[in-house]
Amino acid sequence: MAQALRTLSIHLRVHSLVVLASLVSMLGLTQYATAQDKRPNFVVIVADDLGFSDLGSYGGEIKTPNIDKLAREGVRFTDFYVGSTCSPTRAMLLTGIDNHRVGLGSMYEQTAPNQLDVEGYEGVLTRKVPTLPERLKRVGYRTYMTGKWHLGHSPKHIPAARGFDRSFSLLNGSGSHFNMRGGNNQNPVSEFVEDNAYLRKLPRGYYSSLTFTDKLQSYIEEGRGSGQPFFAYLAFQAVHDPLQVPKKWLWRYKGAYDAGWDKLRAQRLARQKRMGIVADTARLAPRLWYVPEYEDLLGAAQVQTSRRMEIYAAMVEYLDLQVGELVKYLKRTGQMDNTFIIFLSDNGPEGADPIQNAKQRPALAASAWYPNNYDTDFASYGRKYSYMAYGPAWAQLSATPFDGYKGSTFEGGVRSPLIIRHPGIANQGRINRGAILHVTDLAPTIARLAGADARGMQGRSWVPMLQGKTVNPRSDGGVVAGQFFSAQYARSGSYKAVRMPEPFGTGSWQLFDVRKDPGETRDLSGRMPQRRQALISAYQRFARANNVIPPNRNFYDGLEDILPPRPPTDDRDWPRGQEPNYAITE
Amino acid sequence: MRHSLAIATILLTGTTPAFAEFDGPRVYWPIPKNTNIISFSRFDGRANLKFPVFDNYRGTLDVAPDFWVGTYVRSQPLFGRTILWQASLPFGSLDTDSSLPLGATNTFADGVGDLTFGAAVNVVGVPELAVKDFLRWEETLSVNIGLHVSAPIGTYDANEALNMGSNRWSARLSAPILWNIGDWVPGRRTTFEVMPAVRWFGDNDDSFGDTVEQDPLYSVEAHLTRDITKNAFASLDWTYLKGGEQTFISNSSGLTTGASDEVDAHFVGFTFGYQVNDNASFQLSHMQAVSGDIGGFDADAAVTKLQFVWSWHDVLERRRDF
Repeated sequence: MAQALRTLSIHLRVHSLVVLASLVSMLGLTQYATAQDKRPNFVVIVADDLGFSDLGSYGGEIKTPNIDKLAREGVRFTDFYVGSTCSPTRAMLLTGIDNHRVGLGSMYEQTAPNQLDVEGYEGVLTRKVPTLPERLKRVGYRTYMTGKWHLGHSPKHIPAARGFDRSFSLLNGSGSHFNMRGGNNQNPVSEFVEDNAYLRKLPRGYYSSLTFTDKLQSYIEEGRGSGQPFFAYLAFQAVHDPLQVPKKWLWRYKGAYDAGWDKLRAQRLARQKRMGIVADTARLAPRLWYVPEYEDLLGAAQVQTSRRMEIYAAMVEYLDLQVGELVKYLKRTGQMDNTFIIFLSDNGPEGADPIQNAKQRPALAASAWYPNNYDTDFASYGRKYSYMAYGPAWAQLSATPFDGYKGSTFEGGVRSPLIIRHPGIANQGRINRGAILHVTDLAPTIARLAGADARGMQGRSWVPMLQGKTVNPRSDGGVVAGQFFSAQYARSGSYKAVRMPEPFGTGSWQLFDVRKDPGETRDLSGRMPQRRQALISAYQRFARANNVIPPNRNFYDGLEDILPPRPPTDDRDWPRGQEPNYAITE
Repeated sequence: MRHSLAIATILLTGTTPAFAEFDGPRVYWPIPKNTNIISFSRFDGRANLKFPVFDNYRGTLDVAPDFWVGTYVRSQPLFGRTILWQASLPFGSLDTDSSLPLGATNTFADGVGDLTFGAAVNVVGVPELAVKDFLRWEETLSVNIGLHVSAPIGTYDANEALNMGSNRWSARLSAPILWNIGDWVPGRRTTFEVMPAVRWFGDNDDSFGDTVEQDPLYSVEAHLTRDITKNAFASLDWTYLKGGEQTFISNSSGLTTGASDEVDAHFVGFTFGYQVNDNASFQLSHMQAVSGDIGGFDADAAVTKLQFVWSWHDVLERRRDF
């Protein structure tokens, strides 16, 4: 019996190679994969809550030389869509399938009463669909994962059970970057696993960005002698709150944000235009109505708030440093030229501030939990015992020029930087502004490059685009769409229909030309009703196909009562009421 | 005998106001420029000195200081550094009880003491700090240089051994050093502070018809301070005094009528400080002589200081409205 199994196993392995070879040949991917041991490696780097414009290569003033170098050597994409929050994006990334079909129809923490016990809304990455690492393993890849998982806590849902040979991960959505202290009263202690083992203590000198990178490097090194290619998923926890940096980095950006969010947003936009990240017609989304003009703040208040962004920036730079360390390692070991490095963020920047929210609701347990577990005072900002988030004003800076931030289906919530670096891809050093890409595309792209099975995936392969055969995988008018909480969007070509609940949106579908107007400042619904309706219909098809169940309760509920009243959206003193600064053509 | 008592009284009361000069912990911490601080410190204590009356008989003298020191400090920029201007004035009373072979006596003095004014400027570590700089200031090591002068405006009677004023000028040069150990975050701050100082004295040309000359008095203060909570701290304090030999010279004859050895005394104690709100704080200190030799005589002294502080800054006041 054992002999029979062994024979079957060998037969399957040989058969896989034959299938693989024919697939590779059929797809014309000999540039990347001519034999198993020449197949490319993949390093997918995901930053957490990083804004679209934070990287230097996307117009930011934060020093990110290592990621910028990847951008210069690779290709930058400007129209890449992710989920508006964390775990839906991760689920899509690892399956190539819409989040509503793989268990993350909503965030586990935000599942609405009408979504409970509904397939697709389990709150964990369902085992009913194979993950990308599982598919890659079947064709001989070694698979590694370090960092934030947020796709399930039980032994059958941890990375080791979902296709990763080696893993070191934070299972929760947030927590301290220095220790096992949790991120909120629902998760007071963070859970970590290394492979199948749930950890009781963390490695000495643990800091999330540092340790995740070191671990990943050690896994790659460990498997180097095997001769197998690898897929490595580095899911940074940075720059999710609490914003914390190693002590030496606390003062790295001291004073750098004293100009305030208004001026810095304008500066970022100007750089983005010069670099070609956005169109010359792009305008800044209006400052959120409940965020004061920076200049209106007293000097001391300006410092207090700027300090938040200083810490955030230091955290981003530290993440960049770790990317640089990984790249150095790959170069040193001669693996760089055969490795695809893909960098993205999981969603837009986080504008919510849990501490402020807790303070506004003193009767809730959370309001006592934070001060009992973290120092929330200004003087402690950035330290390992501090809990601080940078709030909506700075999130808007990170999202320049977009409207909205994490949780929103305005561009600020769902558009992410995307950099792909590999010596074999076309258009190196350029910015691709034509491609409309979605996070579900990553898995089929990698699967195809690796010669793995991509059946059942919904995303579109980027391989022809990377080969220079096309600029846009959706040049046929293909739609990207999403639904998160009670916010929706659908985009095709230059146009995007979006429905955001009040008070952030109007509660109705709006239409924007997001190529010319990425700040979504001018609603074209009245001028292009047919296009609007076409996109709404496209969204409805998407929703039906993916079993989208709008929540009957979510965090947008009641915000109108909490936030100050919003000025009329057609107020001509606000950019939203201004005429478009570009020609409108159907 | 009366002369012995007078000398003893002068020695002891001459040293007691030195308590008021002990800076205490966390005095030279960085503050924003243009900050105003008013403090009132109440000194309460006792000092006991055993001094020779006859060859084999020693008298005792107890001094009970009971006075306040009012102090105003303002920080201002100076060539990119911060200078702390200071003026202080003691007022209150001193009370002595002496025990002599012929019986006990009591002496009492009240009024104002000598006015002290001067400045301390940071020379290492802390630049001029606007409020926004101060909010982001991370203390490491700072060194200040202070020069304070005392003017003889205090209540003085040449025919009394006990006076609130000293009838002489003096100047004190100090070099407070602050070393922050650990995080500069309320609730977690730990500092080690050392303050070497020297005081030079002018002559008191009229004390019972004598001129009193005094050599420089050297002192070192050290404080190990640690936050207990975000609003409270404790400090272990140590002070060492050395020098200050006094000579009594008759104005009529020019002859020396008395002299004392130097002071050589160690004091240890503690301080507890509490920040009531952004403006108000108080500190309670207690110092005890553990090795007292004042002018060659055994001395036992303890002093308790309760200090109330009110500070304000225009910008910080408005900040609270944010």
